[in-house]
Amino acid sequence: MIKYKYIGLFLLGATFTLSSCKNTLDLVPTDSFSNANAFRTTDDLQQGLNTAYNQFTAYSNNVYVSALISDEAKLGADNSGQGTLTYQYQYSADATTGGDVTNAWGGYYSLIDQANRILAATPAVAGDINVKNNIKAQLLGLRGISHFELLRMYSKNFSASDPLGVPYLTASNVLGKPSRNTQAEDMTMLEKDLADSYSLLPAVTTSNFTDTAINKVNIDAYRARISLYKGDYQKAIDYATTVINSGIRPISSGSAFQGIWTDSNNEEVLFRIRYANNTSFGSLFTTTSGNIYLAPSSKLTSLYATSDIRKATYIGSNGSGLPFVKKYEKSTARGGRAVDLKVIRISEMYLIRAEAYAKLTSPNVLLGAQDLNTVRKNRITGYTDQIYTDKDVLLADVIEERLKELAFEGQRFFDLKRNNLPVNRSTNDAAPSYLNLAANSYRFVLPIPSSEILANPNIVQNSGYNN
Amino acid sequence: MKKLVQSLFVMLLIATSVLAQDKKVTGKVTAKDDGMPLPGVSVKVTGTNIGTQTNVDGKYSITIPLNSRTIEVSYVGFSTQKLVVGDNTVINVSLASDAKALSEVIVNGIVPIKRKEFAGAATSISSENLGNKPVASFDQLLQGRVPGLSALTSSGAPGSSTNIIIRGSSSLAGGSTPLYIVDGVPIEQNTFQGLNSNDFESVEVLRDASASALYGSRGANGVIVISTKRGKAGKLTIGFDSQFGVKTPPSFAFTPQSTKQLLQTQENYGLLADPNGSVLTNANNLPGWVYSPKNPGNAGLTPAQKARYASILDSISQINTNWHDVTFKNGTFSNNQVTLSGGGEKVRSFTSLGLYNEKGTTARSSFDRVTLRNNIDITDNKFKAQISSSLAYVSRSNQQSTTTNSTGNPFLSFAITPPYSVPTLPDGNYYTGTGAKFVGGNQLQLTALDINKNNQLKALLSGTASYEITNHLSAAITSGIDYRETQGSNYGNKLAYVRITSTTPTGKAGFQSESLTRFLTANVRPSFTYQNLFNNKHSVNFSVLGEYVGEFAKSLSLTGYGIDPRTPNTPAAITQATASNQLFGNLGGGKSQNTLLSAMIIGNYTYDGKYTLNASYRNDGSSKLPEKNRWVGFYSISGVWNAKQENFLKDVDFVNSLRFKASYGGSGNNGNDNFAYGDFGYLPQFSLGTTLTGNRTLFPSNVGNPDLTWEKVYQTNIGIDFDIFRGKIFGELNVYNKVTKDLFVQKTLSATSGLGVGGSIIVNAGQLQNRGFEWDINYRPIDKNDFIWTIYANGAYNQNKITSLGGEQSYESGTGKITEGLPSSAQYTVRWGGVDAATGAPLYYTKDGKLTTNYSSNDQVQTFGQSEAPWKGGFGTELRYKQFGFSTLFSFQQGATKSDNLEYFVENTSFIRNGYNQSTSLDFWQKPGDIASTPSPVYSSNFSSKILHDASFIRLRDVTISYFLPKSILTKSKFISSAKLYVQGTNLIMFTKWRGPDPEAGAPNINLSEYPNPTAFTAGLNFTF
Repeated sequence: MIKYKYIGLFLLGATFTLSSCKNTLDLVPTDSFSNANAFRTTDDLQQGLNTAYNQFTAYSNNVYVSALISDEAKLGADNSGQGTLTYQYQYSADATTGGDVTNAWGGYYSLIDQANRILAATPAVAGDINVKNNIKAQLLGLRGISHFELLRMYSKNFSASDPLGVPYLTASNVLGKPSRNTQAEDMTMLEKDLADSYSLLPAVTTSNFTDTAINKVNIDAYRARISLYKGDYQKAIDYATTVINSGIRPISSGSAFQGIWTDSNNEEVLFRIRYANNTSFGSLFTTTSGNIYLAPSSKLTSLYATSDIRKATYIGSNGSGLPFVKKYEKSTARGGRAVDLKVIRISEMYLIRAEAYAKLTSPNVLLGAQDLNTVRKNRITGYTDQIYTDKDVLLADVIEERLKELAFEGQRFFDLKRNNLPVNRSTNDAAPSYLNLAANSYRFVLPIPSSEILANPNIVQNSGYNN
Repeated sequence: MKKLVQSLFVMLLIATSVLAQDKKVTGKVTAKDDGMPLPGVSVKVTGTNIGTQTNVDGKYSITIPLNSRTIEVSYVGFSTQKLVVGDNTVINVSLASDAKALSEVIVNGIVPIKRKEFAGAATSISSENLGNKPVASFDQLLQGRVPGLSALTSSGAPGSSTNIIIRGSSSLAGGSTPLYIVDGVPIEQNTFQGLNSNDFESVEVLRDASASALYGSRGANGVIVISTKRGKAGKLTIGFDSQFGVKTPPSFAFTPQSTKQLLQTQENYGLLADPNGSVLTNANNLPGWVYSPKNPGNAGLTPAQKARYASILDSISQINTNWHDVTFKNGTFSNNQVTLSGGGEKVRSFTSLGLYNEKGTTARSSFDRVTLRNNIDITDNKFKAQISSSLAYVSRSNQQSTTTNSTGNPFLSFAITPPYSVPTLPDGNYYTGTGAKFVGGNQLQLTALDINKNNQLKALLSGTASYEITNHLSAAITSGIDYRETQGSNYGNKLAYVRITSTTPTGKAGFQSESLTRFLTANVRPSFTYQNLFNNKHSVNFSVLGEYVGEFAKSLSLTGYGIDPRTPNTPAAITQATASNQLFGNLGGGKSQNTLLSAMIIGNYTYDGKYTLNASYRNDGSSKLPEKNRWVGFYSISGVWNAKQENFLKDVDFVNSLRFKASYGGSGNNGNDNFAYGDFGYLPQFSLGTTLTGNRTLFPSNVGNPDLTWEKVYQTNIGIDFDIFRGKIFGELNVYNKVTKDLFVQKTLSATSGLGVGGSIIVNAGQLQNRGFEWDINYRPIDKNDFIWTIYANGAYNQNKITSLGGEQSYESGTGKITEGLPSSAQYTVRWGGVDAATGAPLYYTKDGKLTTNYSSNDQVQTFGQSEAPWKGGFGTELRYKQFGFSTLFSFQQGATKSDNLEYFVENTSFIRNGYNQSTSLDFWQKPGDIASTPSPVYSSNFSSKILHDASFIRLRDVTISYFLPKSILTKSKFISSAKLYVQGTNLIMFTKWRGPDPEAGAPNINLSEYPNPTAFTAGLNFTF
């Protein structure tokens, strides 16, 4: 009898084991979901799009690289190596010495991959077609813009015949080893992405405009920037005009202008990247504890007239009287160094148009000067319009004005590169060995990270760099 | 003629047999050392299945068949005795306890195997080397005890666990932690602080494939099987163990400079680094230079100013704080335990209640534990059950930072804070601020104000029930759970200097973090076993098993801000976040699970006690692998030749036992810590997150790997067990070859994958080899009743080599580099070339071996040995004379190198500028011709082989002197049956070239000023009533 009791006990246990085993190997994660389950509603698509916007923080690399390689900044008093090799033109393709200049490569491609994944998922998602199209348009826009940013960093100045563009990706492929497209191919594809984006986007109204998302206005603003880069000056003028005439974010002055840099208003801004409290992009320049790693150059400081509001707005002075980059010092709402990153502002449109007028086959110095004066008038107290007759004088002044207006906004390095100008630093800012960077130096074309070359033998390294 | 004699002889034998009668033999079995009756002892007629067990009084009765002449009396922990029956009808046996006989059975946690039929490599550690030691995590006790096992304790903080590696790391990315089994059920790796090693009967370390293949996909890194103590039938015994001790502050080869020395150092430094006296003007950091009369910048001062400078210097030099003494203190230790053991023939129980308390050698480092264990054994005719349960509550307190290069780490701050600084101001407040001068004060303040605690609840429950269906067939089921809940709380006081000076709203407000982690392993294993002996020669054992293992993990965490110091360390103090106060906290958590299902067959055949053949096959299905690779089979085959049983050795007197063995088999690397891919890593996944501004995001969180499979280890082991010269020399030798296939290696991807620059996935591509030999030799020059002296030595040599990366590129991993043809732990840095005597410039070797003054990380090479020691082991002696016992354990490792980051701080002129204190051993270049070890201050310092040193050591790990009170005294007391007093020293002496605090502390490749393992002195007593 006892025997059966024990056998019964055993069988009970064994049955329990087997029943608990049924299907237990087919577990699915609870904290995440498989690709098949990722995108089911338009809300999911929107969340995926939010990630892509978040990844546009890659643009902070433009700002950092521009400050390190050009003449707008100098190494700060507390610098203990941050960006030093880059500032001294010793960057190379490896991660140790080249991290500053190669990070963007990864950042933009991550964004592009994310956009491609969501674009692929969009058709199967049920939901309002308008919502879907809007999301799709924003993704196409981000994809086009990202490829443009890669192109201007890692390729030579635009030439349709240059074979070394960047890989243009329209589908996610984790194990892919794409080759570099030609610059012409890149330009065609990114222009198409932006055009497709534009046509899918809804019309902009004052009430639906937001500077934290892609819309018809900032697509046009970006197209103005791209056209100038490409050398298509009439288009640059047209796009800039469309943006200016939309009147959505007019140029401002005085305390309204100053408020842009503490995020207490969003005057002038056409597109920006949001930052929160605990992510402080501004600490690349000055840490939250006040260590100055990268300071405004004396060259830049000396360019501003005392009556120029930008001087006090962009450049601060700390307790020891040392200058620091005030643009990213603090956000009124969120505290230290957590300032939103402004990607495009309306003043750039005026400056693009001014430059394009000067560069037209038959230059229009009058209209160009008008745009330049508009910007200056809004910045300098008591400014009287300057009259220009020579396009080259105008051009030189526009480029200098871009430095003064767009300092630390990731433009100066590309302005010099685009115009085949050298970097000429002040002796107050740099030692002889890194005082200048000759025009057309290979260093204007940033190295592709060596890990990329190792992982993907189809990629050709830019000349001048070892892998 | 010869034949005739033979026949006659045979006939005579038969006749004798025929003449013999079936007869009954009775007797009593007692323990040799205390004369107490031993219940449950097996008494068996040699060569038959006839057997019985002794009762509560140690008595037995057995019927001897007519043709049998001897009986065998055996009991776990005692030497088996074979006795000739002869004419006797009463045979009383006195069994001698014997350490080497302790494990006649190899407990592998699945099916017990007789040691003489075991073909693999296993080492058993007995309870006397596991109990009453001043460490809270039992794995620390394995160092030097097991050949081929490396046990380095990376932190001396109370309750820390040890990194155990058996026969060399067999994985690059998948982990090398062995599988741990307690009373038949798997437990979580690396969280042993909730286990009381005083409760352990034995720890068996299984190293070869014949044992690890039984665990299939989990066995690749070896298996450590723990058996806890069980109740013995007989009268109730009450045991009381008590132990107290101190742990002494760490000692260092580096001595911080005194104020006088440091001021001089600063002056010497300034003369070179600031020849005009115009650059180095920070008087807080460099008073020895700023106020120096030799500073050219002071040349133009007025006599009054000069006098003032001299008096400042003088007053500074009056202060000479010993930061070592301010930072460290003596730790204390106590361990108390009460045990109850007893029962009848049917039910026996063992209960223990333990209290462990340790205070570390720095403030806020303590460990308190309560453990309760209850083990019950039930025997009812053919039914047997073992139920084991243990419950532990652990409370640990930690410093905020003891393992990093942060200046908040006391093991760094004491060395770099200048001696002319002070810990507190006259008003009693800590001397805090920004800069080197305040490093010590800041650290002490932070330690005093902040609270970092974690409490752990651990429950282990396991049970085995078995039933003999027939004489040859039995069924069993083993089941258990391991449950752990850790609750952490971390309080950051807003009054601390680092928070007062913060610029962010949350940084200023003080924080409170709470976390909860839950981990549960559930295990069920039914089995059937068939065993029989045919023709007295063919012994067969055959088992069929199934197994289910489920692991469930869950964690929660929250961090809130705005804590009023009047309500420290409670989540109630958190201020609710609003748009205006910006005190947004963090909430987080996650959960996961995995399942393993297995079917297994194990067979064993022994012929005539001479030849044994074992084989096993196990098929594991795991939820962690993609469906197409889900089920993986693992097998092993092994054999033993018991040469002593051969005729030619039977009568050879000086060979007591001699066995040759060989095994081969495979197993996988899947433990909860050992699988690089986590529970669902094979599956491409998306996760939800939050943007910088609070928008919900959806992003690919895992790339996945559709081809993922286990890393598999295939191991060959050949060994010999011997016992010669009448037990004077005994031991075991093994050689092995362990090959990891489908090794995880990093595959770097194009950034266009979306994984960023240098993004990578892990693929099953490479191959790794560990091969070596092990020895475990014991010499017993004296072996008398009241005088036993043993000298032992064990150890191993292991050669580790990455034989293939499967076509993937060599890649950097931590401070090392994974390169085909080199050990996985090969060091990787730039070779230091010394200091140029003419200029004081640092010299480095380029890749091509040329000297250069330019440092480039491209010149890193891998010619500095490896961080995993190829040679390791232990040796010592055990002596027992009358009432006295004496034992020592030395442990060693040889051939390991390690970077010493403390040296980088204290022998580095770059840090003089920062105002950090330096070591008295600092010797920097000052003038042409100087042969110095540190370059001139005008040059900056870089990481190179300058700080890479030999981390070999021999450590006197344990010394115990014990005294047993004589029986004559005890019998007078009537109720005390045994009493032992002892004193013990742990980590007493270290012989090493390593200059840092402890070659064990920190990661194997680099020490970042981690908590060194302390020296402990303890005294204790054990009473049994």
